[in-house]
Amino acid sequence: MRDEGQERLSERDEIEALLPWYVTGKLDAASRARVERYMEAHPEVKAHLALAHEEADVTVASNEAISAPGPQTLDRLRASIAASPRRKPLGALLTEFSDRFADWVADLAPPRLALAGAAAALLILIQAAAIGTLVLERGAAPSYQTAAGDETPQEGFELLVQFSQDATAGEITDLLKRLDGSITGGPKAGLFRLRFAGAEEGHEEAAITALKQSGIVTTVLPGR
Amino acid sequence: MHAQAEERALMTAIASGDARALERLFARTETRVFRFLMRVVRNEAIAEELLNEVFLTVWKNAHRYEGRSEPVTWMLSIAHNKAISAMRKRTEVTGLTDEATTGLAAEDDTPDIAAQKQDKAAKIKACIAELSAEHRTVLDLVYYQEQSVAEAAEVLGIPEATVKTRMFYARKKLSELLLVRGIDRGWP
Repeated sequence: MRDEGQERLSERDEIEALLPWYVTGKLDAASRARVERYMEAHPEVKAHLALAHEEADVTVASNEAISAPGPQTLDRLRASIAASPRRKPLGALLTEFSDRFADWVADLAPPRLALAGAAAALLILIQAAAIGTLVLERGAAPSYQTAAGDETPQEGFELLVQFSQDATAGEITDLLKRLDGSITGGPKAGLFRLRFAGAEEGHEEAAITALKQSGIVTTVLPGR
Repeated sequence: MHAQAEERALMTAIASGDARALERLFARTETRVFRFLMRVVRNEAIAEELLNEVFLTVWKNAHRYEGRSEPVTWMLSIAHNKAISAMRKRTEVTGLTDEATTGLAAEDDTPDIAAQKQDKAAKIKACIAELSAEHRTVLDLVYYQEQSVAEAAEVLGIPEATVKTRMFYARKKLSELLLVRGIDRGWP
């Protein structure tokens, strides 16, 4: 198959590529106006809208022909949730603890307020320990082969990434394969250094978005 | 309330640990997500397994949903990752690539379906089934899931320009396959 990520379409081909979104009404205003201007100047392209409509009808029909999943799927999900209770995010836990702490302070008589200072110090210690635990857990993550050739400049870009605690090695590997990335360093302060191939415009932004939306990444930072 | 606004509100509730909100989101979107998975993996048991995994991931990671895209787009992105991962494992185990299995689907056709293929819509359907998973998926995302260019890019984890290019080649390949079946679409 052609390397679709590297090839640049002609204007005509790009208009043809946009027709599916035109017929589903999902083009932004600027692109829609561009398609309409082009079709006005090239009426033969307008006839191709019928092709996109045909494709849309068949695709929708093919999808709708797939039966909905059975009622057992909800029971299965309930069982899965029960088997894996979710830990509250650290932020929520700290907020909850802080709220309780504030309530407790509000109930204190003035002579006992000195104790509140000690309690505040305790809160800070708990927070540090909790974050430290997160870092340690990431440190125990599976190791990866680092990319070779660090001394020679490489095309692409780097990002600093923290993976979620429940990310599996398989999920991380699949994500990196899909985004054509590799781990080149870390973890340092819980962050791995990732290198991605490709210098195409928009590639870095797309990679950042994909990482954030992957469900297994908690933090993405520029690697520079 | 608008459907998308309702789904965003459900995500907020799920993030705070509301399991009933997850069930409501599941009821609203399971068929869409399931069909998306089915079109990629082409196996009901695997699709149901992945469907469970997708919503379990939503349950565990709802607090990481940033609201920059619609919840369905976010879920389809998770579903795509899991489907691709499952396909890769299946290829490693069976040695069959997606391109190799596409032909198998056509062999399962009943005589009735074979007869229906005489008409144009059935031929288009058969040709779409013959496309690679990448090409089929971009058609599904746009025509059935009604994702914009930006949303499709997010689901697939590729730049918007690549989504457009992939769509162009998917449609071009479809025309070529139809030509083999005697249908000249006059494009490209």
